[in-house]
Amino acid sequence: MFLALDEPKDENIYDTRVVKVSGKTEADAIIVILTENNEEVLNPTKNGDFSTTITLDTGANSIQVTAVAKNGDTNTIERTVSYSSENF
Amino acid sequence: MKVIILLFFIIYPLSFILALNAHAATSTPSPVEAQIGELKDRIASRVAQLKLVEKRGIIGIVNDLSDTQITLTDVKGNTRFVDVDELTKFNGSSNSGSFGISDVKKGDTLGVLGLYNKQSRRILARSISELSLSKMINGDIVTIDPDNFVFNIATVKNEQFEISVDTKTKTLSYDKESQELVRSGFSKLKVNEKVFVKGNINKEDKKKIDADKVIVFPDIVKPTPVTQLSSPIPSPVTSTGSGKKLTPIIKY
Repeated sequence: MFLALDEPKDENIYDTRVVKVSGKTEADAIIVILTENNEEVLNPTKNGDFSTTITLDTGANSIQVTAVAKNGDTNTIERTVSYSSENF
Repeated sequence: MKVIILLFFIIYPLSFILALNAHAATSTPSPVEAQIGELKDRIASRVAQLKLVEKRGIIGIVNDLSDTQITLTDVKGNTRFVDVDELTKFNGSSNSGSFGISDVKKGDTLGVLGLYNKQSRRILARSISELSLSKMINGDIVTIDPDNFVFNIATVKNEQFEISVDTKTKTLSYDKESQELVRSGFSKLKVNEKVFVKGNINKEDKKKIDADKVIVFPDIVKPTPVTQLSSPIPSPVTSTGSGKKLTPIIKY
């Protein structure tokens, strides 16, 4: 099951709460995005591209992006993404 | 001819003198040039330093700790070294009182934001937060126990988890037509359906999860049937003759 996640980059620290989640998978797959406080299901385009935004909590957040094929096959990518307004 | 010879005697020494001056100018730079060179070196050094260090945020479970260092295992299973200094801020998961490095224990989950050195592969922590993260898993429903509001799932790694559902659990179902998540319930779950679960791991048994949220995909069903509680599998035990009994592998 093909899944590539372009954004967000693993272990990145963002200075905005809303960050983009984008990538590519198989056209007929379903994308499930789970965060600590939210969940989103979306369908990719005919090319397999997908894009949405998530809202981060302050500090380190764990996000899990899963592509689910029609036959039930899955591929999951987990990333740690942080939000901080502090300049260090 | 005399003019040419005269010009030769004038131009040759002059060019020699000019060449010497040029050489002197390159070998002993002026104070301004020296300052520019020094500035260039400092900029190059700073650029190299900036390239070597970058901001990063990680999540990990505490393996080991001292007054100045915490060793974590991150979500990918890698060992991460975190340095702590007087500028590191600590945030506890609850708002009760202050939280510092002395409150950190082995097994705690921490979120660390700091400066990662690519060469030493260490993070100088600027902020450390105690986290209480949900377990997020997905798999196929293997068995359902409607009497106890429990179902079992098998993940892609063939791990099995027992999922407990209670009145606080929010069950959602993916509607293919509207392409949205709609409210559902435990009674609508079926064996072999694809399911995503968020919840808290039972402290006594890490294979048990108290579900906060269940998302089921009724249209995505595992093609080959898996074990069902209602049809127990016969498991004849074969004697090896050596006193040990082997259970045969049964393929479904």
